[in-house]
Amino acid sequence: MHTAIELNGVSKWFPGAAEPAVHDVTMAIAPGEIVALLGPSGCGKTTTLRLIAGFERPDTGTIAIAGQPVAGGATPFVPPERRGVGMVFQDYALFPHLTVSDNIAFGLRHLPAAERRSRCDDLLALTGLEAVAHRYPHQLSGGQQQRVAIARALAPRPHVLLLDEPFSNLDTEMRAQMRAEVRELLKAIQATAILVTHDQQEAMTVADRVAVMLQGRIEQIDTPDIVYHYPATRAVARFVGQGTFVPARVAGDVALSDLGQFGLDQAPAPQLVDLLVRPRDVTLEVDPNGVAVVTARRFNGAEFTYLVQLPCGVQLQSDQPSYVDIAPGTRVRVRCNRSRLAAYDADTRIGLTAPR
Amino acid sequence: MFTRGASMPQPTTSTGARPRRAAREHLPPLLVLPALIVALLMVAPLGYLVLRAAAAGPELLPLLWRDRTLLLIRNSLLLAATVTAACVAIALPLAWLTARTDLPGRRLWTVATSLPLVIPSYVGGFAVIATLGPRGALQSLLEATLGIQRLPEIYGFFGAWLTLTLLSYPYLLLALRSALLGLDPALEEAARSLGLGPWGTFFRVTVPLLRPALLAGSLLVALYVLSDFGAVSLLRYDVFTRAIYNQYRGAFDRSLAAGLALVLVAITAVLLALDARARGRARYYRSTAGVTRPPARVRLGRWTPLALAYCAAIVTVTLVLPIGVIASWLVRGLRAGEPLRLVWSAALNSVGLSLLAGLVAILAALPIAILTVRHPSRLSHAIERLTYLGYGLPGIVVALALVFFGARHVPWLYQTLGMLVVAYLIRFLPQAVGTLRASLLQVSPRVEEAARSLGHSPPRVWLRVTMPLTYPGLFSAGALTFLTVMKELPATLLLRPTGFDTLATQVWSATAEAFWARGAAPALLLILLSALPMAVTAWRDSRFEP
Repeated sequence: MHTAIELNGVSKWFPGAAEPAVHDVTMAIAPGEIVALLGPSGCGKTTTLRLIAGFERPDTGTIAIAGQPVAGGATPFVPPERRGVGMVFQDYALFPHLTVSDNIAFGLRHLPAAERRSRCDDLLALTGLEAVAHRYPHQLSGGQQQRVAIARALAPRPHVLLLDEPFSNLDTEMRAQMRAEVRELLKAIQATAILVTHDQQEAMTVADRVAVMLQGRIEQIDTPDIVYHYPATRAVARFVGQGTFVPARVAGDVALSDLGQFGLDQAPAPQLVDLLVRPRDVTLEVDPNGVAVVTARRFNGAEFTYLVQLPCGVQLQSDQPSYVDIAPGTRVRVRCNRSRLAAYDADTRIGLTAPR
Repeated sequence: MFTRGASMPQPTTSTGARPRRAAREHLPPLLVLPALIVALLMVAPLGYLVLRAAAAGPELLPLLWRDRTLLLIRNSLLLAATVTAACVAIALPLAWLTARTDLPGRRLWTVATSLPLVIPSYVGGFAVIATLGPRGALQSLLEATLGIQRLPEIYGFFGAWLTLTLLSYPYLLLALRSALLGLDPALEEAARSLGLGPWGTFFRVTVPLLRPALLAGSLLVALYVLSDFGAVSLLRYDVFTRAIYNQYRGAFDRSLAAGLALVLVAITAVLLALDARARGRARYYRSTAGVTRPPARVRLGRWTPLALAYCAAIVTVTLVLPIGVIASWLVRGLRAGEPLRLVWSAALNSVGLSLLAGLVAILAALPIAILTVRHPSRLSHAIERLTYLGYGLPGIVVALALVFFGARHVPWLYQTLGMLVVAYLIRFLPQAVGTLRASLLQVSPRVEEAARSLGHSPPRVWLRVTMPLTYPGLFSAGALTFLTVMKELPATLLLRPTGFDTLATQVWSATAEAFWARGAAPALLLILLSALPMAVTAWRDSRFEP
């Protein structure tokens, strides 16, 4: 079975830019998979999407969709209208002069009228838009507009659905609802999809795999929990969620830190490593003999965020349930509550550690 | 930077060589070719004028280097400066009253005071002469009642100054009004909270913030005055445009006219450059974009009657009086049996010609607009710039350049409607391109991309998505060209086929020969035609004001 999408060494330079917008990107996406391209603005994720859609031409590398080469190499460039990709734009780009059903039927002109109508009706039902089929885009709510955009893109049965920051124009509540709804919908029809977003929570809730993109390169592509807990590089660790790097001294196969001893699963390691500690990875216990001191706390509505000063000089950030009530100035013992933590050398993850 | 102390990881690429730079975006030849042709058409006449003058250079220089040329420069600059000063005096209070106070009927005053903008200057000149001139309305009235035989001379500086002031103060008014409305009220509130009173705030915060608008508006007025042909010619004040026309009409050797035209172009170019700088700065000064809180309105209280009287006086003098006088001449003419037949044929000529020009302008502007909006590149930028050339050229200069060019190189086109349409195109294409550009910019490229990803080829996308969405823009570009061509005088005068009369030329010749009654009907038609669409749009726009 072939891949749904394959990028091989794809780079894109924009005229006048010192650095490539997309730098040597290689990835393969399986049919039925949802992949999120996650990165800060300007990292090249939207350009990658537009390269796949055919709105930009790669300068190097090749792109194949459903096993067919569409750009780069010896094959002639395949224009967007012949690629079989559906695109959902950030601002939806609905045709303002067409009704909802005409928008959805826009890509179906190759079908006979009767078939077109039935396909359009199917999608209206699938997205729950039957009641507004004859309205114009400006008469719809944000959530409805987004459903139209998705229905329109899905109507011609594309090989792959590309979504460019699709939730960014919705308010917070609507966003959470639409994320779940869209994932459910895509899974129900077993669609292959690529989602571009700068919101890590969004990437993790919607996607099967998350590709973290920084400065034009894909730094890591993996399942959401691996990307969160075991980021491949420090840069990924910093971009995806909050956390603290706690230094540890290596002696043989053991790393010693202010959080206690950790066993290294991969020796030899450099003399010093940093352990990535996410805010919920530790427990705090009041202990007059503890080496750490609570310096500040902040109530964020559901839990407390504590700042804890470690002897090594690092200030650890720790989220605790709101019943854990420790006054600033209290000495505490910090214990790791995860079975494994990621360890880093200067830049890259070098292995995992387990508390001993 | 995210990393602490260490640099980003650099996975080694397969080849160390830097990939080649993106090839220049290829422009669709179907757009580039027509756009290039139009752009060249824009430049050719002016280039030709320069060449002609350069060729005649040795003989031309001593001819130009005379007291008369200096006098022309003096007169032109004097007129521009005095009209501008008068406009500031009229416009500043008006802008403040309509934008920042509780003046009753603000919307009505706003529309009424901006209307003179669209009245062609020769119609304004006609109205002034028909009112204040010898045998004009005022004198007839005074003679019948008081037996006064003569009024002070209207021809010359005073008449030209009066006419142009009454017609061009709206340029400043609009600039000042939009600046006043765009001011962030928080700035004035900050000044108040820092201990400044209302007057102190006005002079130390509001007025300095208005300076860019004041400058930009003043330059617009000055440009208008410099390029005006109708009013100064009818009122016989010797400035460049009139001298160029007379030189062209009266003299055997026409290269002096070309030389004078180039001097005028040079003066205009300086003002345009200043204008561009002022605009750049005005943008810089605008501190807030988008929707801000509307500023609190000043209560006029017992000053209300005075404010109303001021507005009413301006509207009476600039709008009611001219229209009233023209209407009275029309009635008088009809009573005396003045035939309207000629007016109808001229009106038909005007409408037909303007329709043709509007259509041609849309067709010529379309490739340029699409190119600049959808395929920005150095070439499309250059093409757009070239089309703006005509914008800064006084009409008489464009006309003269085409006369030279046509008579010598394309005699089969000379004094045909085709030549006239080319002249209109050079002068008015920028506004057609601008209008189309604006409406194309409203269509998000994402919408076009969506259509393409749904399986439609570029031409189909244009037909099914872009076109339907830009209909209003196409229509207003055509309508705008139609209206401006209707009113155009100098190029029409110089380039029209022999015996071809339009409303504009009729007003012109009737005024020049003091046949007030004959000029009244076409003048009134032109005012209606110019003012009605403007009034409707202005009224609609002002609805959205705070």
